[in-house]
Amino acid sequence: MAKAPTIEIPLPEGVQPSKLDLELLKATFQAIATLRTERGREWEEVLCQLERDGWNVHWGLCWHAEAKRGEDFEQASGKTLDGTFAELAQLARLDMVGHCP
Amino acid sequence: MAYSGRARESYQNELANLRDQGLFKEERYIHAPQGAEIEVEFPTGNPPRKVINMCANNYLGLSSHPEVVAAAHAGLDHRGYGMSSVRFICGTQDIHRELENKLTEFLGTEDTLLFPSCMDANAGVFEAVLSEQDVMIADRLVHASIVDGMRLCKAMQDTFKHSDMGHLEEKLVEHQDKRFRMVITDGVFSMDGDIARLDAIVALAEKHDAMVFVDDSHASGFIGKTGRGTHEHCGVVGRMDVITTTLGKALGGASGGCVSGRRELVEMCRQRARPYLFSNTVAPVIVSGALKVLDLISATTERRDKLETNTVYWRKLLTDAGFDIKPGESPIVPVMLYNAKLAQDVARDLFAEGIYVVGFFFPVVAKGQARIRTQLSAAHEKHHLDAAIAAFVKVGKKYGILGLGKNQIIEKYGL
Repeated sequence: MAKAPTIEIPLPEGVQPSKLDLELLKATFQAIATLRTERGREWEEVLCQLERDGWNVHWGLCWHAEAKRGEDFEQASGKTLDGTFAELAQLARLDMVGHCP
Repeated sequence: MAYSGRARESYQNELANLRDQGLFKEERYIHAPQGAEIEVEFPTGNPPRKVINMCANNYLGLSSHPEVVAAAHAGLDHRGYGMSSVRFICGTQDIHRELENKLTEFLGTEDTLLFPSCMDANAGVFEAVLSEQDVMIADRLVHASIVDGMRLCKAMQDTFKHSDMGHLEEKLVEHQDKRFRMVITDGVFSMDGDIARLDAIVALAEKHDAMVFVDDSHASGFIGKTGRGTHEHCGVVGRMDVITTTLGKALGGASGGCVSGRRELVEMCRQRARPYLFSNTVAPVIVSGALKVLDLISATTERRDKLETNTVYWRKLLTDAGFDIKPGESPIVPVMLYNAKLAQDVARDLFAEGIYVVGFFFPVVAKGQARIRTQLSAAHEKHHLDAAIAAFVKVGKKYGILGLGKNQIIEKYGL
């Protein structure tokens, strides 16, 4: 599969972005690219079909977080980073040690 | 062919990894009914040998009790082998309702619904009674089936530190904005054999307007003065909102489970719990056997009392011999070895000495918490326990672990 095209954006001189800053920039540009390129594609048909089936659909951009430890895998999404990580932490807490039968 | 060579190879590699990590589970073939002494073929292909069984959930020794077997035979004769239906189509017999009524009376609740297993009961109950407006707050060491049930439910999931009432109260306060709060716990925890502080949990739940759920699978039939379970032991009979339990351990040991509790919650399960709605009815032969079990344990506490005596005796034998055991009063008595290989080696040597036990280690228990879980039964006689301790001492001496505490065992064998 061909590598997806990427863009590089030089940062202002002297700026030392943190990991969080970079994630934020990346997420922002991804959101813009998604909105610019995906409007009018399959997702709109899916949305219409769901609404025809009686679903009241709300949608929007959100944060997504994943955690992996060995075979345990959890993922959460939410409108805020706090909410997303709170949900991820709750799910991760359910991956407790094995349990005797 | 859809099952490609690539798929086969992938699964073969995964299974090989399990073997390499010592996590591969092998079944041992038992050539006898369940009991204190059984004949086990192990390794596979070897002639069966008689061993003392110290790892069954046969707490009351009723798995092969002649009266239970006779009742099951009678059930087979009078109600047939199978029902070929789920409950709500044409799978409910008079004896199903009779058993539900008897369980309700025995557990001191308002109503009961049978499930194919307690695993199914736990998988179905939360989704049936809670929604996204609610929160489930579970002890961090609850049984895997509860975790699975919580994952199937849209209510918010949260946990509190094991048996930590302060932490539970914090969580109850934190979630006051939710429509309903449900505190979730095991009655007796299967790993350590410790008993939930249901009296404190119920008090907190009443203070903060929450429901209480307990899985009493390792308690029903023998914990509490008359064996009603953890709620009897803790003095909160009638104050539980949901009890799930199994017929697959003390109560005959065959299969089946139930949700018992507040009438409306049980009815919600009857209407909505998917494992109830979409799996076959509990077979008449099992229902008939379970009815007899409830008759037997309601008539006398003799078997429950014998189990208690055996438990006290076995705990004393292990302690006096210098083994490091988890303190408590339940018939689950973990002998702590901490090191996974040591647990496997000790279990293997005990089998060679005629004692059937199993080593538990990560991921079944936390890393560094490897152990041998011994379980008592009312079917055990004193001579069984005396023979078992003789073998434990012999093997304990071989590995030089008698009288050693946690740190000393870890120092000697590592983690």
